[in-house]
Amino acid sequence: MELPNPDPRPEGEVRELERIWATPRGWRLVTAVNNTIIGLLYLGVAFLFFLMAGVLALIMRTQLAVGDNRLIGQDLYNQMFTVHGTTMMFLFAVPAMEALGVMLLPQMLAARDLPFPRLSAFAIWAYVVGGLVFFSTIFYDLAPKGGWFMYPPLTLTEYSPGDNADFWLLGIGFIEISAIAGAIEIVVGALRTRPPGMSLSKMPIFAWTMLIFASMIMFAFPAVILATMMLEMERAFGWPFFTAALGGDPLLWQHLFWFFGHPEVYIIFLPAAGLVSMIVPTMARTPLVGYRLIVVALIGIGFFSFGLWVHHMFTTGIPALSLAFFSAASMTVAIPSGIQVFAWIATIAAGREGLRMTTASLFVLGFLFIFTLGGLTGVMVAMVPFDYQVHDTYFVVAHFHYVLIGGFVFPLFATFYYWAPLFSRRPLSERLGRWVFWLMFIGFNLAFLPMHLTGLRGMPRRVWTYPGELGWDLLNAVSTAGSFVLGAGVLLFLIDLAANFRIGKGGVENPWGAGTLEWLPNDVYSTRSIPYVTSREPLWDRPSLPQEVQEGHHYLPNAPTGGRETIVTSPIHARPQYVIQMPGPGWPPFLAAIFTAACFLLLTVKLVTIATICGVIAVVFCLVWAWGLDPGPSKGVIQVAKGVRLPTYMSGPTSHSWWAMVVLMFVAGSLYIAYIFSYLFLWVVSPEVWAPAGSPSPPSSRWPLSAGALLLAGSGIVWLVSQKLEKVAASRVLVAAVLLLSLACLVASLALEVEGHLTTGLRPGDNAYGAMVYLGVVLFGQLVLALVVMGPFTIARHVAGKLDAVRRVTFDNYMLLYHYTVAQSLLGLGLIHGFPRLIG
Amino acid sequence: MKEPAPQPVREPPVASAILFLLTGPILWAGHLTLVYAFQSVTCAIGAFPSAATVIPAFVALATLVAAMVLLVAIWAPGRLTRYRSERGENQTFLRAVSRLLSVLSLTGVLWTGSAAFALDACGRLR
Repeated sequence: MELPNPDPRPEGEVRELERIWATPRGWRLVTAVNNTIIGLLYLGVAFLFFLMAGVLALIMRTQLAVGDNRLIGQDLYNQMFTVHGTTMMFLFAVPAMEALGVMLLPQMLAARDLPFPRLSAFAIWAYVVGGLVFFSTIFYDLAPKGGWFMYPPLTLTEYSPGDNADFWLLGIGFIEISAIAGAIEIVVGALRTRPPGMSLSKMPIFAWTMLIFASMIMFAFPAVILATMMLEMERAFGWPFFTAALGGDPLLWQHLFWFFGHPEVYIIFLPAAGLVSMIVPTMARTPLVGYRLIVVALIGIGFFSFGLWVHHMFTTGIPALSLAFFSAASMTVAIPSGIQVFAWIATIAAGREGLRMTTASLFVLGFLFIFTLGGLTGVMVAMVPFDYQVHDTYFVVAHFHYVLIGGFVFPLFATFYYWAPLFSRRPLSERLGRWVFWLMFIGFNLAFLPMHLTGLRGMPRRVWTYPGELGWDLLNAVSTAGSFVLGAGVLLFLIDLAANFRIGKGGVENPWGAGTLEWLPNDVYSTRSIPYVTSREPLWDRPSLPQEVQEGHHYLPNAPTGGRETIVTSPIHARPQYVIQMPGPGWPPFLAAIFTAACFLLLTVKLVTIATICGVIAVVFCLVWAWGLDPGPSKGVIQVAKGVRLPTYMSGPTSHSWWAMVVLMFVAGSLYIAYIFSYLFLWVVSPEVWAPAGSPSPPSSRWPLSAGALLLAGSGIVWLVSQKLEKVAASRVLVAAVLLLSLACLVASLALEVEGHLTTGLRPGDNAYGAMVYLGVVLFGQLVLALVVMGPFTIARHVAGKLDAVRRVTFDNYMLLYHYTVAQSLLGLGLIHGFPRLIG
Repeated sequence: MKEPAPQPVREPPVASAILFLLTGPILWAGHLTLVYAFQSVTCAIGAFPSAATVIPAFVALATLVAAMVLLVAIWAPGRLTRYRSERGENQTFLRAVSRLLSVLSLTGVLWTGSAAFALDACGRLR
């Protein structure tokens, strides 16, 4: 193979790269955006949450060790199991996986960084602040008590007064937004910043899993964001979405929650499986068996997991045939899961020299054992009659801990031991690691295996104590002892971490002899040059690659734009398309995250005015941040390899900005589909009381027709400007006028929609129908609000000479969101005004 | 004078590639949504006096149609989405993944559809 840059490189290029990618020092460290720095912070904080939620678990196990125990009271116990579950799912598992994505993905793809480093920084700081404040509520008797799934009616104001539930709803809702921001970064990163030659068929399995993980977040999280919005609206303003007496239905919450909640299990498991698929071939010293089948399994699981949510609701009275549809899907998903397990076993068996028994290997084997058992009990609870017997018992607690700790925590510890040398000057101790593994493995099985029996003997979940004479004491005592052994394993890991983990470079390069790109020599700028990839294990197939990359013989061995940059490649074949210029460290994402967190958290305690001020400040910082983006084509065309010249600017459908906006529109679309489902669900479950019976008729058709005409007019105006931007851009007044006119159309359309419903006398607090109608208006309104901010920003960019027919990314983003808003709102008008007329 | 920017390398539209790859799972999702929605709405509003016949018939029809389309997707991947890409290892990989996903989806569709013949259309377990 001819090298992309065969000639010797000039002196000074590496020093220039080091200067450009240098990590800020001292208190400016919080402004860092390098994926290795913020990824480590992200992972560290996620692990802190794991430890804190683990301590809660130990306290709960101590309380349950014997019957009739009075160590802690019922109220505190309720807060503890809620915070334990919520923290493990929302503040540990998903963030830890996003953190690994941020940390490892650019290294595995040999990209200098992910395409939106400041977005990652924003997401991480928002999560850190929001998560810590949420967790601290346990110390002030302010923690929620409704379980990690917060079912109404228990969580409605009548049964959960005070601010406790609001901390969950606003705090977690906000952290979900942070997770979505991370997901956008990962989707665009995995598809567009792969090294040249790394077509989809050569992508590391971890990159596949992160791509599917992030796509699942895009479609799953909006459902629970909508649900939390609805529950908070009911609690704060009395919009009765979940109150049966007013046409609402508590089961609506369960549908929305589990439409998120079940994929969430796979959102956690898939990246962990990806990590295992990276570790096993290295330790078995042979390529992964069944790469293609594993990709099929990952995509299959990603899809099928969205068809399983009702299996959490088998006992809610849903018709048997509906249950059977979801039971079938629940069993179907076992097939791709099994494919992966067999592929790993086959890879281990295929290794001619056997599996190297490192600590990472032990954790992988532990994962295989525990997760397989959890999968088998999963098939058991997928069967409706069996689920009826064990629903809400400790059997289910045992099952999901086998799946989650086996399927996620064990691979995570394997990851710590396997990838630590990439970020630390010293590897973690193999000797201590083996102790950590055995303590955790024995402790885990001792803690959770007996729970199957405890559950089969009838012990329900979420009880703070139980009568001593029921025969559950011994099993519970064993579980408690096991949990402390597990805890001892984690404690020993912390000792290992303190003794050996030292952030920095200088350790052994590629200590395991792995074949993937993250083990290339790298520094703050990632690899010296971006390799041309010709196989799935490039380091095995081309032993000279590390040296070639280090000597700058591959792509982009320097920094021709004088700033941070990486190569953007085509999504399928990974052919170089252009060079993306990326922003460096800065205060705006950090401050925007702090004030966004403050806004949400202050709303929780009803400090509306200060919260609003914080929200406005956050938006201002976001605008300051966005002002520095879209650098324009001033750097021209640069040479990235011999005979390969790439532009340094791109707009339109090829650009990463366009891609991020489209991903965001998918997220918004998912949320709106969840809304449509909710609207129709309330009609389906109680058509006899659903409006218009008892409610005013919808407004006359003049209102929606006028609103719709305005929307179409606005869309037409924006389309025309887009087509004629070259001519229109010459006039500052004209651009401002037409963009303001398009905004006026939107605002007027929204006003007509609100006024139309108000004139009928319908109010959101009247009944669930009214609440749903006005929720549609709220969803319309929030998009309009976003455009009202983006419109003047676009005009300001044009006035400042930062927007023209070529440098048009800001306008394109406005245009995309505008057209999306129009499409969603027209659909909404059709639903809200058409459906009541249709059913008469 | 500035050098004109080279045009980025063109590939088939990503949307068509995604549809090509995910034909099977999308059909599976469509089938599940359709049969679940039809059965739920029919039972809830009592649209048909003979729901016990209509629902299994509808599920059977939907399953048959979905299975036929999936068989086409297995037999000739890309025919439904008209996706064409240059030949090579990547294309072979994508075709195989698409085909296998369709096989998996066919299993799911048949498994789901078969339930309609075993259970009461609107009955509850308690």
